[in-house]
Amino acid sequence: MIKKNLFRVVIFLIALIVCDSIFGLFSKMLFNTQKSGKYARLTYIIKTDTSDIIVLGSSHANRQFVSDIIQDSLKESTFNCGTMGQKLLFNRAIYEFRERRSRPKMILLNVDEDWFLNKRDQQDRMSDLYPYYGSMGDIIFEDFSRKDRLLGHLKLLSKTFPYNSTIVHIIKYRLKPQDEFKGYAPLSGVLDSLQLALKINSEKGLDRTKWPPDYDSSLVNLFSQFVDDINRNNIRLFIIFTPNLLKPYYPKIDEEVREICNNKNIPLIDFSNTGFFYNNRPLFDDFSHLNDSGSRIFTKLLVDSIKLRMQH
Amino acid sequence: MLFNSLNFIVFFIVVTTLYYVLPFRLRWIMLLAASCFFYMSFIPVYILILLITILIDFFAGIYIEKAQNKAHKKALLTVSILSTCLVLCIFKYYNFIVVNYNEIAKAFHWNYKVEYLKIILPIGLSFHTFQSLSYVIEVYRGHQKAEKHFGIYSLYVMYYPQLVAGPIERPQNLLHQFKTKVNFDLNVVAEGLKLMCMGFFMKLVIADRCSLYVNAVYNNVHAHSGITFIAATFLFAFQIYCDFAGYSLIAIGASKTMGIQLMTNFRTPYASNSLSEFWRRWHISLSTWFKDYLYVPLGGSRGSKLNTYRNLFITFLVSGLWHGANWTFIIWGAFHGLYLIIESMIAKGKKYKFPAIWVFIVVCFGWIFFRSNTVQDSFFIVKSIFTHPGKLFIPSDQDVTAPIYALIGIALLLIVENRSKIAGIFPAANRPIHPYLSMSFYIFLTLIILYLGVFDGGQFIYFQF
Repeated sequence: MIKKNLFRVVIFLIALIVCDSIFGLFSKMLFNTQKSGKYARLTYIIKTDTSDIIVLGSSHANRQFVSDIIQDSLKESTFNCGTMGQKLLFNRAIYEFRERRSRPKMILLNVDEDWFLNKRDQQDRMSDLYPYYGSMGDIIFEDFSRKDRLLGHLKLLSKTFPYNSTIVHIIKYRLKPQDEFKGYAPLSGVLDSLQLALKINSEKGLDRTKWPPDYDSSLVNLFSQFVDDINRNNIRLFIIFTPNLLKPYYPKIDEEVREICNNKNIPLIDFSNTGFFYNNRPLFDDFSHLNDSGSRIFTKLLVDSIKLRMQH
Repeated sequence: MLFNSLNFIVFFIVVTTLYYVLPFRLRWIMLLAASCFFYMSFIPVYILILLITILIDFFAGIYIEKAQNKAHKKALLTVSILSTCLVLCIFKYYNFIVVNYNEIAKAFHWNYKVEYLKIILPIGLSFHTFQSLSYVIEVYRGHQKAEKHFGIYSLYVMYYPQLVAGPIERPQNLLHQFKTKVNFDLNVVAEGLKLMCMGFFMKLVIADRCSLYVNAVYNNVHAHSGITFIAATFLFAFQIYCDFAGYSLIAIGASKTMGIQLMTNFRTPYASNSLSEFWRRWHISLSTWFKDYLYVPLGGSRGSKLNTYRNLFITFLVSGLWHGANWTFIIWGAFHGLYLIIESMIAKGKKYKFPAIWVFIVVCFGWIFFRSNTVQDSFFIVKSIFTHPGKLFIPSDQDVTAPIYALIGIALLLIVENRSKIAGIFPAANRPIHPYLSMSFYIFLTLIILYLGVFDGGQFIYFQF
């Protein structure tokens, strides 16, 4: 009886491992066929791109920094590496990986006001890099605690898990490839005036002087280190705050970034309070992203500002 | 420690292994220590609150049994119930009462503002309070002998699989199982693991996926319109079901691996043909608790029709309040109470079958109040559904995939839950399943969890109750 039971357990475990490996291999093949969408961009950034100028940041970078305008104005090859929903930890990982393989000459780092919030959430979002675990495993978990790092490596023993939640993305962009221009993914809509009015109304009385509850000072130190690393490698760095349609939620965090830039003598180009964009609904696709017209105006103003600073 | 974390998997393997390795006399000690560790992994100091509840009801049970006359027994029971409920009231309802008092004071220009308590609700407080109450009431009724072993009684309240979100067990079902020796049986362990696998599927593949869309909509109601609210409420119906039924399955499965049976908590509730049937299939351990300890003592359906309706309404109002200290939950409870009264008027004491889809719509309507952050939000949603259908909200890029994965998961769940009906259509499916086929199904389910599950440790909704 014991032998029979033991046999069943062994068979189950072997079958599970084999199925996981086969399914993982199949998922990997499917994953690598992507030509468009977030993962296709990431694969290009991680494995191929050698541009001189890279844009790092979240969707605010991805949707608002027009690579062609930057490239034409600054006469250097440019790629927009901004990734939707990503913050400090992810962008630092992308930078490290890129720097190891091919060092860029300039980085345009778009910092959002939520970069110093909720480290746990930022760690969770590193899952976008799991499919590249084989080539950048050490970088993915670099800023994790020892326990989280161990758990992360443990999870990725599975060959299927790295491709978790990628299938719909693969199908979606195969059926409808994303318009993308050297990493820049334009938005074409115009924000609805009723939605804007409702949003303004719902934000009335919001206390913007408080520190957000999930503020994490360890992320400030990490940001400081990140900036130091870039400087140490003699890469020209510009930190950029993108335009706001409405008042920022956490001005205190913007202040903190300003202070770090001042202390380290890093040029900060701040569009967050630019009157031209503020409340200029036709230039926005949604509450926080410019549409293509807005992005083109913004990028032109940005490169002018960069040129001016480079002359000095 | 959340069930859907790797920490729990390690914890579970260690505890279950130790359970079978240790001699029987040491098992309860290990289980109690493990349960303390499990609870303390949330907020360690709150174990003291649990200890207070355990001490009150442990001694109350002994003295109630010893008491010579009924009046004495009743007095002891009252003291026990009041003191146990006092702990619950302070932590769960104090700030709610203060908020409402301050609002009234403001309206009448009274100058007596009461300060809020800066406390966090201990995890699962309502669950172990009810389990503890169930014990003293059963001792009082003479259905259960008072437990003399403090350790075993503590384990009854603290047993880790059902400590923070039930099922709310009865002493008759659970206590004796801690005193019965269980030998290792691979079939029993395998059954438990299968239940856990299904629970993880429901939680990680369906509930946590649905939550991404639901939260985006319900946390920002003014940015959305009717059709989006319908979609979000439909997904929330499956989110809350899979979240809670998933938790229950993991709890029942984890317990079963040690040979300890916990009660069934859900039986495909959305297939119900009436709301009263829904409540016989949804959160069974809680609905039977309310039935046995509130509805029946109030008089149940023994008196006039009017009294029955009153008892029904009170029970659901309290049930709403149990779910949370917010007017949204009270309205949700009142809605269910009122609808049940109307339903029982239509049925006139006979078994009346409504179409399951209608019952599902009614339940979903109730969920709007349950999920809304404020009463104003819930009425805004209801109004939007009827007056401003608008455009369906499609989340941007990565989040757009969340509802699609959720729908895939829901489709799989419906197939699994309705397998007996499907078997009726395909007679070949009626043959006994070969063990290796069953094994293949669970391997498939594991791969689906790995491929489609959400692994960022999202909280279980019912933890807050």
